[in-house]
Amino acid sequence: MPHTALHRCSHWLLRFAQRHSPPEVREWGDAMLGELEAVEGSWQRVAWSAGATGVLMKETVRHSLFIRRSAGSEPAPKLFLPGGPMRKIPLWFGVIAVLTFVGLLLAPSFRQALDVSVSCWTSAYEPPVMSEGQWRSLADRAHREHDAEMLAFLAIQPPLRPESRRVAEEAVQLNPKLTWVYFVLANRVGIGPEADAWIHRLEAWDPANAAPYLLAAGQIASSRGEVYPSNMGWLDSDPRWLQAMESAFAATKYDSYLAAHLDLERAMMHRRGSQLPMQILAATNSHPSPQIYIMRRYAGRLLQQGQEQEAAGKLQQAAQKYWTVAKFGWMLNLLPYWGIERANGAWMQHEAIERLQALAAKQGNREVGELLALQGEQLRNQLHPRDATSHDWLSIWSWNATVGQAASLALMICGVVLLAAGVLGLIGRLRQTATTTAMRWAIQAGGALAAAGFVLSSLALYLSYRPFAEIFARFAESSGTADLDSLWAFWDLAEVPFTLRDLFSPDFLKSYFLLGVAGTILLVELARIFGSRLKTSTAS
Amino acid sequence: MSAAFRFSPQTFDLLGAFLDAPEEWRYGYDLSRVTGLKSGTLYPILMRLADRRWLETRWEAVGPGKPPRHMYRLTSDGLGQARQAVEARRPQALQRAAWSGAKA
Repeated sequence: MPHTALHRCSHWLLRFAQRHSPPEVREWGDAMLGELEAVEGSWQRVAWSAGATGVLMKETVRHSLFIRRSAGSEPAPKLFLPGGPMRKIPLWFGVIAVLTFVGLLLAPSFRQALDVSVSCWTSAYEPPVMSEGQWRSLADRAHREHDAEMLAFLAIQPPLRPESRRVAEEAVQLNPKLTWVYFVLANRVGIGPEADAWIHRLEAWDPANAAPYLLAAGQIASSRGEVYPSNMGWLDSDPRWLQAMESAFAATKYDSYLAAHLDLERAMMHRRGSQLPMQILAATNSHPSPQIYIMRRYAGRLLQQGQEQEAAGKLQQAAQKYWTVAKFGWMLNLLPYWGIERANGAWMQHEAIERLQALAAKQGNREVGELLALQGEQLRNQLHPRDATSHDWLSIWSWNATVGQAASLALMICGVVLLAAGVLGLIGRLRQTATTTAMRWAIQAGGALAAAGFVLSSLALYLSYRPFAEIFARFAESSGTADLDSLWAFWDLAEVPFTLRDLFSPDFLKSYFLLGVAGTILLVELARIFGSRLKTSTAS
Repeated sequence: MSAAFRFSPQTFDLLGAFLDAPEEWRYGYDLSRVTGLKSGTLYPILMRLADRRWLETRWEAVGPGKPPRHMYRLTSDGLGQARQAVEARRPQALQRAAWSGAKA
């Protein structure tokens, strides 16, 4: 940049700050401008201008917000004092807002709504981490009282502690029905002999269940650190993996113990007397999910083998392979909630049924072929639903969720403004500080508007959340995975989009602070202009 | 010295510059070069000292087409207060230097 342009820029910047500074400081702005001409070197001039501009901006903000009463100056009107310029209306607005909020807090559904709305703007899917002290104190008490449920609950609390293992052992010893906690722990501890030992215990305890075998197969698949399924061709020749998958596909049930986990969370929620949906949602999120790609890989392998046998004329053996896949898919598709397992189960079932239908036609078995065709049609409808009318309730919830999100955002903003107005007013009163007209206007108008917004957004949040409170109440009183679909649908709607949520991450706080300072200066300037115009019109 | 008026090391540097030639009128840029203080640090101190009436100021015309320059000098009250403040600081500075092994 040419030196003259730099000179002009630095001069313009300082001149701008000087023009917008209060009269008391303007002379100092002239002094800084006068010296700017004497500064040697273009970049030194820019540095001088930037530093001086900062000083003038700081003084502008200080004069805009408070003018401390100095000795000998004319006593200025005091904010909030009897007979002072602070009107009663903003004060009443503030009192009504706070009372309304406190009244709404008495309603459990409003407390829930607040919890959900705050969690929606943060990382809600992260399970809450219990403090070490609290964890130990609860574990000691549960140990003394032989409280198996509490011990199991503590064992699966993240993060995995060295004592988690001992606590889990004790819980299972007291109540063997809680052996499922090893499923969570094995998944959390990762690959290694400890996880293997837990998986073996699960397999021995629940041999008809496919989930422990799938967990073992998943651990083998992860053992080489490969991320992409396309690089996992070696699995097809790994006897341990093949054995685990064969056992999983031969199992007669699939239970990832999510129902047992939710029942435990419900029991703990009732014992603590809290009704916070986010804790349950976080628990469902922290529960291990099966590695879907290994199921699909093994199913694909069986279907491929079936086709090869079919081509070789071994129709009976081919049918057996297809039935194995169809049965496994069917088992997953029987789950009472619509999750990733069920979606993939339906896909596997459909693929196998289509082949079986073709095989039945080839064998001239018309009745079986027709039956399979009907089932194939049913599965296609399940995978690609055409009728959207069953989802009308989603659009109603969606509207409620949008209103709730907007209300929670408005509530946060109005709350901050109301608090700022209250703190400024209180400081003004305690420090006997005189204020500028602009400041009085800003506090009065900002406080009153924020109070009104606070009341309205609290009511909007309360009303829009009511359907969700009903869903959660139903879920809290049910058992297992019943109503889990509704809860997930609720969360999908209530969740603030990630991109929007990222804007509120701590990384952006510095930028927001600077924007906030700039915004405050702008608001105070506008209030000052408005105040002086009002004063002029009143005088005339 | 007023109990409420606390000095930063930069303020002491500036007072030292004024005390080196108490009779002279000084420019802002001149003070910046002597003390090494940037404009963002120098002017708040100058403003505060002027508010306390330790400094007197005047404008000096430089030449046609050039803006006048602001000049500063310690008032008689400011001169006494500044000397007192700098003297009071010296034992502390010596003590710190002794502990740290540096030269005062």
